[in-house]
This record gives sequence, structure tokens and C-alpha cells, in this order.
Amino acid sequence: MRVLISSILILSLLSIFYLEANANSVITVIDNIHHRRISLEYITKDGEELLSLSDIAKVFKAVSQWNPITKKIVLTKGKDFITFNIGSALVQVNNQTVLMDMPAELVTGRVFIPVKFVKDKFPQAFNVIVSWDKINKKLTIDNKEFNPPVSLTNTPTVEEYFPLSSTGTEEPEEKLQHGTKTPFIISGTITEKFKIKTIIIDPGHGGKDPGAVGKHGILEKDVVLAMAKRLAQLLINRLKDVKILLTRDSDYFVPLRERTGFANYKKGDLFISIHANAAFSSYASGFEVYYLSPESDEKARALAAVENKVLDLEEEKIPSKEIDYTQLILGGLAQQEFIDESIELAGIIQNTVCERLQLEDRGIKSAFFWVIKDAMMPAVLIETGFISNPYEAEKLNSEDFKDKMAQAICEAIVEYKSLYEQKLEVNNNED
Amino acid sequence: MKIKKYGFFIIIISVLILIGTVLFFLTKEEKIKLKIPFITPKEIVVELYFSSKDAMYLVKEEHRIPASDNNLEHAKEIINELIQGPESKDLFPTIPEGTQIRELYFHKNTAYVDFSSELVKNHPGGSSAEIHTIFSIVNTLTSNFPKIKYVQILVEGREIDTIGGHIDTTLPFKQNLSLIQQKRVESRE
Repeated sequence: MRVLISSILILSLLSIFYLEANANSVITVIDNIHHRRISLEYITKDGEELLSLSDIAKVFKAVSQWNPITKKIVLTKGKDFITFNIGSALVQVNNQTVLMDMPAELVTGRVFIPVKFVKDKFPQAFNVIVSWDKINKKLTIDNKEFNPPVSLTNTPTVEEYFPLSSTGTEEPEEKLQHGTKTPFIISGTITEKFKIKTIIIDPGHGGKDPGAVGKHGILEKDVVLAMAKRLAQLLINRLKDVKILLTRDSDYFVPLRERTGFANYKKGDLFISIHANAAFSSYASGFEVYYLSPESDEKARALAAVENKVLDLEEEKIPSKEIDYTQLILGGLAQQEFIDESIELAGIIQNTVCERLQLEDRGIKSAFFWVIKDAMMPAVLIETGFISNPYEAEKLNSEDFKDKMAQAICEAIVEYKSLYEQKLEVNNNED
Repeated sequence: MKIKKYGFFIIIISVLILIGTVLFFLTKEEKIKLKIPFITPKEIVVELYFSSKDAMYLVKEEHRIPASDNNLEHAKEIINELIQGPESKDLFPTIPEGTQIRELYFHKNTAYVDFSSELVKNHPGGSSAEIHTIFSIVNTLTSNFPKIKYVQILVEGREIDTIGGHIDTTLPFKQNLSLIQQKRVESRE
């Protein structure tokens, strides 16, 4: 008899726990902007609650788009956007790269991100106030413009707006439907979104910075500006629906950071920097295209820097707030997400130009370039020829060579664009 | 009982003798080690990296420089030798004319090399020249000092954004073996 009673007791206790666990498997979103309450299913990983991106998009009334080639999901709301990379913790919030506590995770065809990230970064991105009650699993969204009344006596609490008791059947609740397939439906219009629509041309140096100087005072800044302007005109003629932008259109100084900043701000889809080379040996000659060095090298460099800073901290007892680690780690890593496309673009330009102009092929190379490292788009730097070589300097300065160079680079860009967009179509149809 | 007592003393004495012998040999070994690289020879062979004629590679050239018993002085001498340029006519210098080394120090596994402003002012520009300037310094230091894994370039005591407007020099660099041509140019001495 005792055994029976105790086992019943245990069972009932267990069932209470079970019910409680069941009740807790949703996060309640209190949306004070649209005056609604939404229940969202979540999953947990390492003690963090994760929500699916498609649900989050619906909550914030943002548009989510999926690029099958780059494996990126973009949440767009008006002018603001947040870009997630599947399997990566790197996120682009408008023009800034930030790090999540864990990578965006693909679970049964849906992409999940930590609620903590929604709380931390969405306010800044979408201009709202987000608060997160981890214990009660409540996510509250408010308008930033909302000013709390001075007198608090007549202010109804959130609970009064939306009674959360289990008895209420007439709550203004919306339940979002989950499909079993990937929620990012790929339609023709979305493919359109990822087509190459803006190309940034960056003539190197300018103004007080002449770049490399050749014989008879031939200046790199003049040669590359002329080539870049011709290339821009050719591209405008060839690609009528593509916007072509120059980082400078005459002889003035543009700081390195502003070149990439401009490209990111204008939401460029390709970044082409035009330069002329120099070496200590006047015999050096030929054509080469650069992309960013492999991630492993640069990560090691950045981490070494962080490591040394950490050690310094221990020794000198500087308050830890003075150093922004994420900035150190992320310095130069925005481009890493586009490295495959950049290498492909570099290869096409290298082959096309060397073949058409019969130039000495020095191959494609990588290094840690200022103008490439923070570019949030495929980016290359072209060294058109050696101004330090007297023969090549004269050639670079001739109108005929500048024309031919601009034409060949234009052909290469057109070829890259059509290859990229073909791939986009194929991927689209497969899904 | 007596045997046990004696046994205890014997153990202690033999342990003491053992420690004494080990210490004797250890300290002796160290003295010998210190003598070999720094005191006995007056000159030492160092590896320097210069630019190839076509500026495609960095090429190793061995030079003999006076030995020093101070690692930092030795490293400074090596960089001075790099600034002097190559002995082979097929190789080209990588440091702009007039550049001087101001200071050099090691911190953990990173070397900090501080140059005078001519490193930037007199630089010919161009990605190839810039990459060769950076990695001739980095590869020279890392290959002569195996414990040094990173090299931070400074100008007039400060971190600089860039030497010629291409490469980001705000962080330390790692050895770059892909730039090195596997061809040996022997010292002419």
C-alpha cells in the first residue's frame, strides 16, 4: 500500500515537472509596437535559447532573404539590414561586423541564432528597444520613440495589456506556422536581389599621395585614375542596369579606410582597386592581381595581437574595458566571407588581361591589403604594370595601353558577372 | 633496528651525492654552451632575405657579422646588415635608402623593430616593393631567432597604418615562406 501511494506521488510529481517543461518550451514575445503577443518555439544549446531566423524576421516584420551561393541570410527592414552566415558567428549589422556567442546553426532546414544576440544587436540595427527575461522566457519589444509617462500610477503594465494567465482564451495571440522545409522561399525576385547591381572602381592613391613614381615623373595616381575612368565608362556602356561608382574621380586624396567604407555604404557587389606596381629592381615587370591572404594567416596575426594585449593586461593591470577584443579579432575578417568569389574574380581578370595584352603573367597573389580587408563584397587589387621599370612606365603612360587595359578588365568583369549569375540561377532551380 | 637506522642515513647520503653530481654536471654544461656561440668565434653567419631581380621572390643570402653576446644587439646588427643590402649583384635591397634602425626589442614571441621615418618617406611604393620590405624584415628575424614568431614594424616609435598605402602594418606579421625562393646565394667572403 505504501509503495503504491509513494509511486503515485512520484508519478504525479513527475507529471508536474513534465507539464512545466512543456509550458516552458515557448518564448513569449510581447510586441508593444504592433500590440500583439506571439509564442515562439525555441531550442537550447549550451544553456542559450535559440530562435529561428524566419520567426525573428516575422516578429520584427523584416524581410528575410537567402543567398544559396554565399550561404547568407539577410534580414532587411527599410534601409537597415543584418546579414547572417550559416555555420559562422560573424554577423554584419548594417556596415559593422560583430560576433555572436555561437555560430548561426542550421537545424532541420531552419537557421537558429541566440536570443541574446536579438537582445544585444537588434535594437541598434532596427531602432527598437528589446528586453529579455531569461527566467520567464519573455522577449519584449518597444518603440524607441516611446517616452515613459512621468506619473506611473495610471500606467498599465505589460501584463495588463496582455494577460498572460493560462485561462485567457481571447488573448490577442498569434502563432507562427512552421513549415518543415527551409522557410526561405527562393523566388525569382529574390535571385534578383543578389545579382551584381553596383560595382565600385577604386583608383589607387591621389592628391598628396602620388603612389609609385616612374621615369620622366610618370605618377601612379595619374595613370590609374585615367584607366579607372575609362573602365567605368566601358562598364556603364556594357552593363546598363549596373551602377558603376568611383572612389575618386579626379586628383584628390582619399584615406584608405574611406575607400572600403564608401564601398560598403553604397552596398557594392564588386570592389576593383586599380594600381601600378613598383619594385626595388628596375627589371621587374608584368601583371598581377591580389586578393586577401588566407584566413588562417590573418586570424593567427589578429589572435597573436590579442594574446599579447591580454598578457600586457595581466602585467600592467589596465582595466579590461579599455581594449575592445572583438574589434581586434574582426579587424580584416569581413572579407573572409567573400574570399572564394574574390579568388575567382582575381583569376578571371589575371587570365583575360594577360591573354589579351600579351603581358608577363605573375599570377594571382594574396596579402593583407587595407582596401580589401574590410570589404563586404568580392574584392581585388589589380597591379597593372611596373612604373619602376622604365619600359613599362612608358607603356603604362600611353593612351593605347590604358585603353586596352580598361577594355580587358571590363571583359573580365562582364564574364565574372555572367558566371556568378548563372550559378545563382542553377542553385535557385535546384532548391 | 640498527640496520634500518643505518639504511636511512645511507639513502640520504647517496641522494645528496647524486644531487651534487647532477648539479656539478649541469652547471658545467651550461658554461660550455655559453662559450660556443658568443665567446669563441668573433664572427657569426646570419641569414638575410633580399629581393630577386624580377621581384617575384625573397632570396636567402648568408652574411658574416661580428658576434655579440646580447640577443637584442645581435638582432639590431642583423637588421643593420639587411639595410646595407645584398652582396650578390643578382639580388636587390628591400629597405629604402637612408633608413636607420632606431630600436629593437623582444616581448614574448614578438619582435618589435623601430625604424626611422625614411622607411616610409623613401619607399618606392607598389605592392611588390612593400611586400618585400615587410617580409624581408619578418623572415630575416624569424629565421635567425626561432623563438620569434611575429614581427611588429614601427616607425619613429609608433605603429603605422601602412608603409606605401597598400598593406596593413598595424598588426604583427608571421613568417612568410611562400615568398622565399629555395635557392642559396653563398657569402662572398
